[in-house]
Amino acid sequence: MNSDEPFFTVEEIRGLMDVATNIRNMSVIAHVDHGKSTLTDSLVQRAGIISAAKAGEARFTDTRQDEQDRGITIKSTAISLYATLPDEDVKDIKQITKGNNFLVNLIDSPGHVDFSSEVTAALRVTDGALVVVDCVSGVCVQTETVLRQAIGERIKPVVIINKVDRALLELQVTKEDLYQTFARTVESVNVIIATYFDASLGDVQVYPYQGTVAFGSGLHGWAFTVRQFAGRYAKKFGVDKMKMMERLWGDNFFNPKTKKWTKTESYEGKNLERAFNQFILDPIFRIFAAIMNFKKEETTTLLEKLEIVLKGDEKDLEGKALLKVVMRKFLPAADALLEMIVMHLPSPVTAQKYRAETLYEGPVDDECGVGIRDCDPKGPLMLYVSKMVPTSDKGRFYAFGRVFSGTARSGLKVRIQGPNYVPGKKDDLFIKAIQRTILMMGRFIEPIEDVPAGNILGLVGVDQFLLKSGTLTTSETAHNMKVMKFSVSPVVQVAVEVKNANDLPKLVEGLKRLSKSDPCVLTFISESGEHIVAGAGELHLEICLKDLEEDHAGIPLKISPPVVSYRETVGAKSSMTALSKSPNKHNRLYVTAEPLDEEVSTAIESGKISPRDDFKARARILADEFGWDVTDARKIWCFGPDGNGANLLIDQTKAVQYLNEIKDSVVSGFQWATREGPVAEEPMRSIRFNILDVTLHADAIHRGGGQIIPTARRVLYASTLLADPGLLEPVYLVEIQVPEQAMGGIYGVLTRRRGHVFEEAQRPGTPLFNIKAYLPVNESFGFTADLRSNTGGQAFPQSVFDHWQILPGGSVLDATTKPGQIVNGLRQRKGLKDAVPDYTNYYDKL
Amino acid sequence: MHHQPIEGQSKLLATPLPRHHEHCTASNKGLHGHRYNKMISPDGPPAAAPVLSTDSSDLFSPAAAAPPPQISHKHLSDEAFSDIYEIARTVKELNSAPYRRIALQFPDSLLTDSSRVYGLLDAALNPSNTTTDETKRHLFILADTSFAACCVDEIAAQHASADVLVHYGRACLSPTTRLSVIYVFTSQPLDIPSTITAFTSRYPDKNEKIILTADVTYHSHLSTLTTTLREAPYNYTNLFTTSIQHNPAAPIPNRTSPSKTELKDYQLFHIPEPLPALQLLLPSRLAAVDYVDVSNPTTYRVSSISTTSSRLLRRRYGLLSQARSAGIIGILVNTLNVKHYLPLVALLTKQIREAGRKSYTVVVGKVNVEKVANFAEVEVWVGVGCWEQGVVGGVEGREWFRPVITPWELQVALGGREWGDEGGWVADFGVLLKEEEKEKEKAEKPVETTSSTNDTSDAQDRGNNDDKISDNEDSDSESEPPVYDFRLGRYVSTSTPLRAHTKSSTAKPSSNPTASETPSSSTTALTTTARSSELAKTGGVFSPAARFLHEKRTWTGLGSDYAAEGAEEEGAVVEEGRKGIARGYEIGGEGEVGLAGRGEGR
Repeated sequence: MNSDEPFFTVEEIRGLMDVATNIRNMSVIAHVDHGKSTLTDSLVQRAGIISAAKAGEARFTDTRQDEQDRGITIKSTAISLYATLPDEDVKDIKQITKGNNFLVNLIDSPGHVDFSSEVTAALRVTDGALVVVDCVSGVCVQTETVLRQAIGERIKPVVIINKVDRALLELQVTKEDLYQTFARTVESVNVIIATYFDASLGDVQVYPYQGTVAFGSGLHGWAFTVRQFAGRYAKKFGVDKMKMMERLWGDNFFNPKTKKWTKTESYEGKNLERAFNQFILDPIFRIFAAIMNFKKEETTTLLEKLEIVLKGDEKDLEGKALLKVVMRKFLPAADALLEMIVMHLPSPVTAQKYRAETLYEGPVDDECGVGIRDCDPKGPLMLYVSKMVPTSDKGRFYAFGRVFSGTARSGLKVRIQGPNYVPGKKDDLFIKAIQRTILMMGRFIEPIEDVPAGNILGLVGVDQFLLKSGTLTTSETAHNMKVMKFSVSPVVQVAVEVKNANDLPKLVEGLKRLSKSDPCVLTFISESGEHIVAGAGELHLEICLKDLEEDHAGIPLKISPPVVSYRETVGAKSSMTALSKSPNKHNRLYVTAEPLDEEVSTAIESGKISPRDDFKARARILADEFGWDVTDARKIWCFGPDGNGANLLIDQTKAVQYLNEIKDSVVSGFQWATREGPVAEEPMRSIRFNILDVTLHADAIHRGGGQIIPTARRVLYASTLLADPGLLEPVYLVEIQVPEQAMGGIYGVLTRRRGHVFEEAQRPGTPLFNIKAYLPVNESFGFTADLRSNTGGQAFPQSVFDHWQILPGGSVLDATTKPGQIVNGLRQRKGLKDAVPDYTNYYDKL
Repeated sequence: MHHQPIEGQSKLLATPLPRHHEHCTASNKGLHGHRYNKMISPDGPPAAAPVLSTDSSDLFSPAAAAPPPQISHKHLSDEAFSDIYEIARTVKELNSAPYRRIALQFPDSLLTDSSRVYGLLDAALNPSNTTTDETKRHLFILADTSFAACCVDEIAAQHASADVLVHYGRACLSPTTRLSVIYVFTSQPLDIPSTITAFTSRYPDKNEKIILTADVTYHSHLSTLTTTLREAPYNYTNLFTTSIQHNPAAPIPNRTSPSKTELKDYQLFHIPEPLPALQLLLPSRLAAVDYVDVSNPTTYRVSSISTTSSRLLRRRYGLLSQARSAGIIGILVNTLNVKHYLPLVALLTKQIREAGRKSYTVVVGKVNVEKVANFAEVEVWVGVGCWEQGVVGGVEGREWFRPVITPWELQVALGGREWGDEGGWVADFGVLLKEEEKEKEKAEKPVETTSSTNDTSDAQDRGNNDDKISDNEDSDSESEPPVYDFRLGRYVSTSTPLRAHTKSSTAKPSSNPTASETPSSSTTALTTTARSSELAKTGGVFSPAARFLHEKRTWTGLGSDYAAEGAEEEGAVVEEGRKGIARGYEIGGEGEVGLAGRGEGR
């Protein structure tokens, strides 16, 4: 639809919402600077459902001032588009649709790794993803991360290879080179997709000849798919469109002499031109050549041939400006993209069939599970809020989410289930009426009466009940929608202080709001009384602190230098069984600690193994995939800290009387101990504690919580200290793109910072190298600046938390080693005694 | 005098017994049977202990905890000993009034000296030639104080029906309610020249305004020190020496000081390291606080408390932040004789309830980690003790399962006041009560003015009630929003367990703090909604602690573990067993058969 056509009223949009088969919810995901927002702009200008006058400015979805200033997206933003497809296209759609009108809900997400949590939140409410890949820099680390996340969420991808104009204008590549670049990019995307193959989702690899890959330039506003060209040539050649599509990609050649298609690239000693090059790239190259070389006549003939009509003043344009206009008319980006989106991305009806089981914690065949599976607007309401969006009213938020089942309407009384809700319990469950349902589009919101299943919406009036995300339902038996798992962790933290003591209440309030406004940031007050803001990386923290200072708290702040959060772990099995006696000496606990396999810890953190699982199913997984003893696996008493961390408490006792009676007390002690380890009061990670034996007093009064809880903590401390304790530090995976001549500088910087390169690959056809390295987060502060100054500004790193590693360089108990010094620093900061207490402080002799 | 010590020694462990549980609320008593943790009761030989249980001989083995370091005065001559224990002064004061029964209260560390003190006092008070049975003055030694040793143990004194108490050792000087008290601080030795060297090295400027103060056990040296410092060659001109007064609420607790406005210009010099409570309290009131460390007698070192105190304050802030979202708050009474403690407990109960939280009042005698950890459902404790022990459980409290905060800190956590207002940390809870009284007066005044016209006030009341009712309708059907937990960094919904429940009862002008706890007034409000019927109740009263046990505990009594574990296995078929009396059991209604069967078996 063109900008001069009338715009949609809310009623009309509401009408579109009812036809769930014709809705496409999709996110735009990519590496930073690959051109998501620019591409989105070209869609909004062409097909935006609200006034293009409002949408006219650049980077429509970058609603914040700092987003515009920095030229990066920080928050994901939703926008609705309207598309009409001709009948011939509609009949090629391989899922059920009704009519020619489609509603596309598009979410533009940030590309910088530090903001990946925004991507996660966006993916949750969408069914398809438009993956944008820069044709020059290719598939980058963040491309891989978001693709992996997308497939994990059962999101179907389509790809656009962007910035083709750069390849043509700056790199001056040949047609075959360009084809090879395209082919390689598509291949690397498919390698990633294949790696994370999900049987329920089926094969979602992308193929240009199926129309799931587009090529174009967001900046110039043009794009095409092979399908589009196949349509044009199919008529000309009088062949089937499908057949034509297959011929226009890969090793297919048209022999002009024999007028026949062939698979070999030479004929009678002469090289044939690849069909893709000949039929698709050739016209584009000719337009570029003619216009950029200012060949007026050639341009005119070309335009006539391609049936492109220039209007009035457009005729006077020259060079790049003319090129833009011509290409936009020749291959409008919105057409290609909308066609690809509508034809190949699933509707909510299609997607929720296979997504239901990954979306819903409960059984898929219960009332709510069925509602989700069928995307039933008449089912019980199941609505997932994936993030909170600040309103102009300070401290209040819109809850942004999607209706998966039922219909959300203003005034409806719903059950709000927070992430810790367990069916049947009262925890984290609230009853509240939805004040208003709204449409959220970029900066603008429109109230709307009700929103049926399959649509994305905003809610007013439930923000006080949900911190970041949660489930809204009308069914009393509903389980939660699955909690989102983020690929980033808040591993970098700063302590903030008020400059003026009277501002303290504002800071406290601001911290709450900040925590709400970002899916990933963590704000809390530490045991030692500091206000901590923890984020994924330096940039993320910088943005969060700026928001806190200017917006959420609105007061001047003192900010400490960033520090890393560590984890305490063990390096070996306890050298002897730890024994602690209760204060009254009547009860004894015998425990050993040993390292938990990293795979198990990762599985716990990713939610693959969780305390909510059925213990038998969990034991099966542990036994089959991680080689655990089934008996042990069945006797996991708990996870910790906070009941879900990557430490396990295993009951290995044999026939101990009263054991179950003290279980709650031991578990309390375990939660306490794993929250604050013995070495530096940092949380523990990846430790498995085995309770070997327990002796208890015969009288219940002498084995109460007061006796057992402190003792459990002591014995866990003792066993940890006996098991070669160590500190785990977070490690970034850094990907750096750099020209060959600047590579030396990178190695120097990385080595100084305890980093090491583990992969180095040249991007074929470019002088650019892709370097992948591991870098301890602790050494990463100022890394970007350091790297730029050492490479003459030619290297651009992207760091994302990858794993935990044991801090090398000796024992944490020895103050002369590096780990020992770090521990001392931590202890000093927390006001603890300098030396780590000896195990004998917690160990009792028999 | 040989027959006298027997009576004294027999009272050596004058421990007040179950008296405590008057203060336990009803629901608490139901949940935890054992309250008197302080007694290690050798409750008879345990019945046939299972193989893995503790050896019964352990029961009688002494506690392994190292005894507190004891300062021995044994080697001292009678004269020096009498000096330290101020026998002469004590006797003079005791003679000044017709005291008949005298209690001597010793802290554990001075207990070794108790019999010698007893001997000296007895000899002085009951001269053998003049004493008859009627005029004899009875002395009692009180040990193992019910609460902190710094406080006067009035209860133990009552056991001995004492009419005066001599308190030995460090005292918090908190006002007592019932008893006359003579304080003997048991002066500690101080090396005056070293202290002066330390002092002069710290304050080179002779004109600086300095307050010189000391712990009560060192206070006797202050006058000597001051005179020396004022004279040549030191010539300090602006020296203020504190004297002891009984006012914990003073700017410098229990000490005289310059006026509050001037205080900011003064630096304070303390002998020795000040108590934690002072470290939290003083920095905000004075320009600087330094102390001389006398723990090493050869070198006296001067240090500033600013670094440690700011760290300690932060730690306190961290602990109180945890109380912001605590739904169940325990009021831990660590004193029974500090003036105001009852009004304070009442005030705290009221404030906690108004904040929609549940409070339980608990008295466990001398507080320790184990006793308090028995109450797993309590999320935060608020300690009610004297100002010195105001920080019940230590300033850092790292060993405590749940944080213990002070009444003032609790008010900060509940939002009644702000951290950093009122010029820093507050220890004395008299301040809190005073403010409460002021508020009450303010609140009462307008009522008085309107009460002249009954009609208008009635109308007002009705209007108010209408407002409240509409609130109620909201809260009945819709939930209270959760509270941000600053410890975990997420929302918790358990922080105001009484919100929905007490709305109706607080809406009534309830001046009686126990109004909502009486079953009659709250049950009617409860049973009206469907939601509240799901709440856990004990004795008709909604009980968050019972809910905790219901929801958080996996162990719910015998057999509950089998239900969880043996779910997959078929249990044995339930058969009807024997019934009747031992003489002749019935089996399945055929009594004769059963009896006969047993007989045959024999």
